[in-house]
Amino acid sequence: MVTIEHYNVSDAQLLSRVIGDIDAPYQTFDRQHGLGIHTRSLADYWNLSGNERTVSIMKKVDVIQAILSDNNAVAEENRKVLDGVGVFGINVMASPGAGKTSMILETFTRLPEGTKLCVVEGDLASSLDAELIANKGIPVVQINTGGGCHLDASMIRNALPRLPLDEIQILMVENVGNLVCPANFLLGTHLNVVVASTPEGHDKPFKYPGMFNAADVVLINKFDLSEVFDFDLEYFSSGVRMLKPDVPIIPISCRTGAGLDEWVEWLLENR
Amino acid sequence: MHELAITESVIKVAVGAAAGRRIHAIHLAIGVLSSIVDDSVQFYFDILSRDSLAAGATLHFRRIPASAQCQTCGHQCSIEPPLPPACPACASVALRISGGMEFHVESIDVEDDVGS
Ligand SMILES: Nc1nc2c(ncn2[C@@H]2O[C@H](COP(=O)(O)OP(=O)(O)OP(=O)(O)O)[C@@H](O)[C@H]2O)c(=O)[nH]1
Ligand SMILES: [Mg+2]
Ligand SMILES: [Zn+2]
Repeated sequence: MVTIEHYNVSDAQLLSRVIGDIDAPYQTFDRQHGLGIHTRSLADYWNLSGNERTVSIMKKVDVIQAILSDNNAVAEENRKVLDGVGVFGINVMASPGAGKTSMILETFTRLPEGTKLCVVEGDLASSLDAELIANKGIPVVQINTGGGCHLDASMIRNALPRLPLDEIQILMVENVGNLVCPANFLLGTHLNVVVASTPEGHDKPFKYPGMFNAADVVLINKFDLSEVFDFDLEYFSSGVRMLKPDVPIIPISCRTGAGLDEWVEWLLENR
Repeated sequence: MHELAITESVIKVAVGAAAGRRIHAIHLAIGVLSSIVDDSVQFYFDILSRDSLAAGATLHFRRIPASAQCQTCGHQCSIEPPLPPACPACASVALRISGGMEFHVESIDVEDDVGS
């Protein structure tokens, strides 16, 4: 039994070699030696390996499929559920402590009569944020990711039936505090909000391009502290614009309330 | 950490495309701006693929660069994270970054029986 481990040639070429020119050199992939490529003729190979002539060849199959296509499909289902009940979903992503929960609470108090909000809280383990939100009378479903660094679409799918979707207009999903992983996982929401904050520094868009590239709107929270932290708004904004030239960048403060009306106005116009 | 979920998906996509054939290699195209740690994926892969058609397969990562184009002087270059603070040619901050977010399984090498 001859098993040719790997071919760098196309099927057609290979077949012509197997059937035709037995002395032509070909390449094999040698498992023992990692990526080493050996070139020798099929005749040599068969001489070495006796007379049995079962040849396994490698075939390259084009796939071109998004790695997270399964997640993307569930996200699409979620989107349909939300669209079906006319709910606008927002995926709130930020570092730990940037002010996601604060921003959600401040947004809630500024929504006009008749525009209701509910929340999905993604958290590594605790339910502290969910309790804060429930205490304000906001419907909330807690998802503990149990150490997982991001929410995914199936977690949202499980949470949706537990929310009063018929009674609300806006769903805020507080993702796990993390500037890397959540950006890869679509949830089915309509808008990605990235909440930066001045204590994190103005270089974040340069260091976490994946996250800022995913943003539909960027809020810069804790702007009351911008002088304390020497936060350079122009520099920060230039980083975001390299990736997303047209994304709105809105400085806010959940402490003083600055910028929040502007954010809520933008949200109501763009939902 | 998300490399775990990503590796599970890689195996699922590859096994789906293999249609019952044994997989010898999986070729991934990963943009430099989509944060994936190769070693970490390979580590999870070796464990998660054990009982599947992809057991023992080799992962190949094709890193796709991002490119920066200066809106001021037209300078073009390929970049890796972190993003450059300004155009290396003229120091303008009006750079536009494109590409580098790719994130898919490109192809797989499967065993195909011929001859006898
Ligand atoms: N000075 C100042 N402090 C703020 C502001 N917004 C939030 N904080 C404080 O920052 C801390 C974190 O805020 P949270 O809203 O809990 O942040 P988070 O992103 O939800 O945090 P995690 O869910 O733990 O990742 C709290 O102590 C807030 O009081 C702000 O605009 N200015
Ligand atoms: Mg929070
Ligand atoms: Zn330039």
